[in-house]
Amino acid sequence: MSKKHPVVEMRKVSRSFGFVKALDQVDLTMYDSEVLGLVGDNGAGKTTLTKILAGVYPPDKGEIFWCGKKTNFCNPREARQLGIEVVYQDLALARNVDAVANVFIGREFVKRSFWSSVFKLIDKEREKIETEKILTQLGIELPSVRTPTKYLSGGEQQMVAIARAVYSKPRVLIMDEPTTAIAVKERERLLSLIPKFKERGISTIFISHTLQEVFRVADRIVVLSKGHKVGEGNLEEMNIEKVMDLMMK
Amino acid sequence: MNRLILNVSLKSAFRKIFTFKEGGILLSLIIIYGVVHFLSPNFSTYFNISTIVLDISFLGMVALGETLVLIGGGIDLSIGGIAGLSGIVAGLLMVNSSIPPLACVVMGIFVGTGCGLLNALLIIKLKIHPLIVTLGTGEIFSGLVLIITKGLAIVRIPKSVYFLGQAKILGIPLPAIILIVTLIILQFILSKTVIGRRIFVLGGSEETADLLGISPAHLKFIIYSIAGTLYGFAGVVMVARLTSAQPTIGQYWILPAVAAAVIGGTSLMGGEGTLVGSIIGSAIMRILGNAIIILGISTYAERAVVGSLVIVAVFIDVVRRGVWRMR
Repeated sequence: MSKKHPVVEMRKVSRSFGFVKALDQVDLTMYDSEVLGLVGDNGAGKTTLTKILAGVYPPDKGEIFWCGKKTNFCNPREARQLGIEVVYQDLALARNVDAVANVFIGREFVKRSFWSSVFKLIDKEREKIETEKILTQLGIELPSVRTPTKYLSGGEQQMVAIARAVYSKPRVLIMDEPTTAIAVKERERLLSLIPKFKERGISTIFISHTLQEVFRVADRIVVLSKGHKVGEGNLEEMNIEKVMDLMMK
Repeated sequence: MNRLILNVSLKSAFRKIFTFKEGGILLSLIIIYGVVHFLSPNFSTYFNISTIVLDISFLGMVALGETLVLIGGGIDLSIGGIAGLSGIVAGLLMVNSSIPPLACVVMGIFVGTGCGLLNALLIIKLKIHPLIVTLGTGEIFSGLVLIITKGLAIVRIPKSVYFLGQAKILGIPLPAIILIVTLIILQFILSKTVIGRRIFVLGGSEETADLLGISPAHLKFIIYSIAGTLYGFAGVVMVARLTSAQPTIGQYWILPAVAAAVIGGTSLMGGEGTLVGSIIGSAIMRILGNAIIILGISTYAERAVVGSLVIVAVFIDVVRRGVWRMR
């Protein structure tokens, strides 16, 4: 897939919360099968940008284009239907239910019989098989997919969130600070997954405070500071010192 | 060797009771029943048990509604108001209109559904905590009951509806059978259907539900209207049992209903709960209430006795959860 084809384009996107301008005329383009590193200090606007793309709230100004066509998705369900999935910083898991339920929230498998479709009976066996399949494909092993996720370790919970995000083969996957609050071994496992997403045709936005990690996995880097885009370039053009200077701007 | 085998099999039987989800609370119920049975010869008579079963049916019905609300992350304090208003409206229609009595029963139940929908609407649109909303609406509904009845019972309820509260099938009171059927239907919904799972997800994390495209508003309408229907049902069947529509119906149901749900293993934080547990919790509450009368314990001591035993029951459940978690 050529790099020339943008999957998602944000043009002059702005968003305020009361008097606080979280994003100010930001342009962002994601190309096919690339990893975009999005960096910036706290309050730079990274999470706001994520949430706009995820459909949590719309931009106040600006336009969003999906595969060249202007779009106006206004809720998370529409964003997911388009092919945008997010692994949130706090994982957004329902910790009282198991991994299977978490992977299939909002897209439950219904049994294929007349009465089952009337009463919407969940096909739990099929969901279990599919969950185990996606976890295996990602190289993840959980003690049991039927244990409530609150009993899993932080890294295991994150794997469930990732499995949920990639199950539907999204075009764009946003990972918001995925390496905070997980152990070193789990961090390595996570970073080794990112190239696998590229192979599956998923474009990833990788948001992190740890610049070494961003430089390890990203093809291109975009720097935000106080709601503005202050820098952009591919890996050859950027280095850690330059990025840090831009972040302080 | 035989002693070792006995120890091992006793331990595994013990473990099995405690790892069954409602095992701990069932054990408490059996112990409480056993103690009271031992202390009073009048306890295990057919008449007394029949009365207890009838009492459990009403508390159990409203506890099921409350459990559903709690699992979904909410709380409903308008049980008494809804049950009372439903009973009064049904009674009023039966006595003052030419509508067939059973149709009045259905209309009374639908009043409960409507009250539940109103609760949901206020919670969703006003974005106020359900505790405050339902506290307020409960008072409004109770106030309406007093305005309509002026504090007086509606009597001369048609005999054709008495059976709802008084009939017995194979010795089992009809309200108890209705409760079991309701339990089976609700348990089916919660454990096998998409809506049921989404209710658990909503209770676990409303934000997650919202982010993943499940409409919390849609679910809340369903939850509170089902709950309201159940409260209304209990209120109307109570009218049939008492053969009059009393303005006090449901007045003291709220605390026992929440207590029954919590004793039964439902979390006040949402996302966790068991309908069977709430029925067992209702049974514990009603057996204790009955025991206090039968054993001649001072009614002044009743509250302290019930409170202490609630703590014991919850403690047993907490211990059991520790065991279950290790499995």
